[in-house]
Amino acid sequence: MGKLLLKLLRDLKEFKGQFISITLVIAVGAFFFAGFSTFSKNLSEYSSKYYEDSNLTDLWVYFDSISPEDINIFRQIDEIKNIEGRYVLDVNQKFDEVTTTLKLHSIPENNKINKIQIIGGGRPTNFQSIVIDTDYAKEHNFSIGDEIEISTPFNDILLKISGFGESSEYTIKSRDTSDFPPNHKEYGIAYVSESTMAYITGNNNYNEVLIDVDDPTDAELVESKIIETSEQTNFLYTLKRDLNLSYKQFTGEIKQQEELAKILPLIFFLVAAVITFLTVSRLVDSQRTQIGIMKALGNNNLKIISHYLGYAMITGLVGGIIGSVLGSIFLPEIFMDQVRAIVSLPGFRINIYYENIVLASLFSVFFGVISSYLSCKKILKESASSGMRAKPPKEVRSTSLEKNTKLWEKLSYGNKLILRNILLNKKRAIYSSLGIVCCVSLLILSFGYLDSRELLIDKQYNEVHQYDLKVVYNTPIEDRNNLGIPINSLYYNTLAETNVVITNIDEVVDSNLIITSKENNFINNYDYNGTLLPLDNQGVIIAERFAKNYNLSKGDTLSLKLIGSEYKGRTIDVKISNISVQYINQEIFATPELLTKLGVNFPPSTLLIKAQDSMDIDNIYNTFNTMNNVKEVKSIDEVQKITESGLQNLFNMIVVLIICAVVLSSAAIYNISIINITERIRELATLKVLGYHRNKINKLIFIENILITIFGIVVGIPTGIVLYISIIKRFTLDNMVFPIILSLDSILFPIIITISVTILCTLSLRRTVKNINMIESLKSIE
Amino acid sequence: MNKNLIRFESVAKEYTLGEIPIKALVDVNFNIDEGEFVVIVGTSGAGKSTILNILGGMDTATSGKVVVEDKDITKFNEKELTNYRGEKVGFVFQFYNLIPNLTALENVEFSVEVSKNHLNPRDILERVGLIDRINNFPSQLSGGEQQRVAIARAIAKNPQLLLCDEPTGALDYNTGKSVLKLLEDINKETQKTIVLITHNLAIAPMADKVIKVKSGTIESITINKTKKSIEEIDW
Ligand SMILES: Nc1ncnc2c1ncn2[C@@H]1O[C@H](COP(=O)(O)OP(=O)(O)OP(=O)(O)O)[C@@H](O)[C@H]1O
Ligand SMILES: [Mg+2]
Repeated sequence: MGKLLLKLLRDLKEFKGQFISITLVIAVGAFFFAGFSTFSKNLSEYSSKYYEDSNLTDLWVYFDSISPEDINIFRQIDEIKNIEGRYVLDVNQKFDEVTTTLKLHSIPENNKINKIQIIGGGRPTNFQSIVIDTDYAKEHNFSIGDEIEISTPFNDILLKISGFGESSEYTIKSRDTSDFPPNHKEYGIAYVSESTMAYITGNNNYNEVLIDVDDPTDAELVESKIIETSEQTNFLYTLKRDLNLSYKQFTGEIKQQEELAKILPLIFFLVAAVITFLTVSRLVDSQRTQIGIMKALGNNNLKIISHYLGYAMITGLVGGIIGSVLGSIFLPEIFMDQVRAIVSLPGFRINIYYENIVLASLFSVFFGVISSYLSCKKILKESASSGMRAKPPKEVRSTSLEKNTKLWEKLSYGNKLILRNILLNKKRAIYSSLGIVCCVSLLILSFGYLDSRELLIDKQYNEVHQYDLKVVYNTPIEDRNNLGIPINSLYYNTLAETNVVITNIDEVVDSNLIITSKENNFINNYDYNGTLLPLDNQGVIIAERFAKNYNLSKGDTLSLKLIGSEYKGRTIDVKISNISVQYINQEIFATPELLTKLGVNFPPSTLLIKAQDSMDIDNIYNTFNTMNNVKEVKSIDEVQKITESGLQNLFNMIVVLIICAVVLSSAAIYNISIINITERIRELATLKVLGYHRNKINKLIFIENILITIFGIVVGIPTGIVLYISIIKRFTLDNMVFPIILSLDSILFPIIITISVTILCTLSLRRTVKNINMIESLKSIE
Repeated sequence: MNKNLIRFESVAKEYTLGEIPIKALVDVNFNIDEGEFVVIVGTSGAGKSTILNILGGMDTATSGKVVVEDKDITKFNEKELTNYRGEKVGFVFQFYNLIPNLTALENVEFSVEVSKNHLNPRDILERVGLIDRINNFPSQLSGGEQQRVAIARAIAKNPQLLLCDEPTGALDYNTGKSVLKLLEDINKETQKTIVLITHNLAIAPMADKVIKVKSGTIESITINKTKKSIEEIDW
């Protein structure tokens, strides 16, 4: 065995280019495998621990108002472990340039459910002290001890920051589904003591009750019991944990990562396996005689097989370990930077899981061993003596192309040679092009994703939303003419927004109802063909994803429960009159006329503004922002920027993907060419002897590679499109859908890149061709 | 007296394997005239192939001059050597070295692409007696037939010089003999200079000149006043 090991090492040295490139492809596969699994495992382990430690509530129960004594009736329900009441309301803070919203919670002294994690400072135990979330604090440069003034619907109050905190309830701090990715500058989470809250509201009452259930699977049962028990109270609705906005978004994100962790590494492992198969096949073929000798010398099959499996073991182990270690360290790091911008994960640190490294290495070895076993098992069937005889010449036939004699005659002998080579080794040519197919597919996916992203932003901010500013007033607008709107410099439309809960579908889902007139052309609904869908007075328009999720179609009826104390839990039934694509958000649109018909009145409280001259936008912004009755002013450009930065995460990943695709195709082309050259070294040496110039020989190799590349591209384009569509579909978040669109560029760039890689690889092979030694290659028949 | 075609002047060839230089050729001198049939004989490892390879422009001498048609080919760069191989030299090897994916005819046609004043490939194949097999691939031909294709390939370029390194080494007695006959005929008909390496001293009488090589030097050069036809030789 010692001598065989020596031979193995010598072979590795002789074919080092090939083994290095195989190792590289395996490393890339292991990189993705370990990187993705480490990342998603980190996220899911962290999140389940976070949710458990902070005791995230199983059920939210919303009331108009309930006294601390009245919540005790729920304690009779057996399955409940703990309950906690709190009062939650939106308050505002005014800055020079923006007015922000804080979601203010009361928090009991003895906080047991949705426990907040204090990052700095202390809990808001003192009267008139406040804890704010770290992202909001960072955006506004607050430090502990600062006094902030907030305005509530009841009064304005001065509060002292006692500390910063985070809650597992708000891993993603979005105001509602329309606010994604979260805007930490304009929206924050805050906590005050029960006494401070009582001071603000003027009483001790709660409007939310958190329910901690013994066994989470009982949540449904408890929910129905609560609904029964709370008949007498002014109960509004309940929300289970998996419908909580931030919980839903965050766990959805983790799922996505897990999906990717399954698909991408597989592609790389497969290509590595194919290249290994070809390389080891070639090695075994070229060492037929040696194998025969080994057998004649009495080595048994097992020994010989394990010798050849050794190559796969070594490349698999080296590539697997290097790739998975690098992947575990760097890939989560690359992703986390951007995840942190969206998700607040206090104390999150990336753990390296050794089992992922082990698993990735095992996979790498496994794929290699299987493929090299397949490539050397045939030789073991032969007897020692037949192995030592020269290989019977491969039968050469006229290829089908030659039947088309006219065309065939026109080809030069060099081209005939190439075509026969490819057509006679169809299987090999197909394997060879596999690397190219994967490369093209990955590149199309990458560029296609960039297209989707661009189109998403373009559609959302140039077609769907055509206003410059959104102004929200504190109170419904009674008389527009009294608002002091500078009507000479702008156009405006009005709308009202309210939260509703949809009660007649599979789950209780909350949504945003937007009430605006048919004539409002600042918010537009489109179908997939880009046809404008106008509002009508007969029914509402809902989002396509929403409709699909809950199996709704045009003409169905939705029961909307109105949230807001003035409606006393009233439910209205509306017909769905249209379904629109909503790239970001999932909203329900209705006209004021429709609601009036149903007996509800929603006075608008929001203005959508379009400047007559876009130079004026800043002025107009300032005019509104300084008005006292204005709650907030949002500029669409700002919203667009936040959306773009939220999508940055995927962008980084695309860059990594492009690099890996290029590595993959270079390794594949390089390796296949080397195999091709060594396999045909006699032929090439003969060409040299015959007086063929090196350039001509290089050209032959080049044309052959280009043909294989073109074949790979032709197959890769449709494959890539399928891959792109299926991955983009998986990427669809709850509040974001990527439009599927491929521009010509996204097809052209992959083609150009792939062909360039082929050209570069072929150029790097010039030296190999130059070094072909005529005399040595022609000396004997191996 | 024929014109001189080839002159080897103190040609030496050294291979360096690691530290130890191996002297394949030490001080080789000989002349070959146009139209001569030359046989090189010698024991294994004597340096016969090295001489032929240097003469054919496949290898370069370490020192000395190799003059072909008054040009010193040791001074040629790679491109000139390639042209030299393409235009002036035809090779025939022990193991034929045909291109497996090309038919007999295509093999010949392919090789004449690099030569300007080449002959008609079909005629040549007819001359070597393979006109019926021109569309066969090498794997469909016997060894002797393959060697005939190789010879056709070499002479179709219409080279000055035909170099054959043990062309019958892999063939049986009769087939080998017929291949030698073919070479002899070609030499007679076209007056092409042929240099042939063999282990087989018995065929020396068919040559105009016999060069004996031993341990990297020329042991003797014999000129046959009366050469025998290969048909008269038995071994
Ligand atoms: N590439 C090489 N590296 C080192 N030594 C070499 C190389 N090629 C040939 N030699 C040496 O040069 C000497 C001459 O070799 P050459 O091939 O010319 O012999 P030959 O006379 O053709 O023998 P044979 O009849 O066996 O073919 C031999 O000793 C051989 O070992
Ligand atoms: Mg020899």
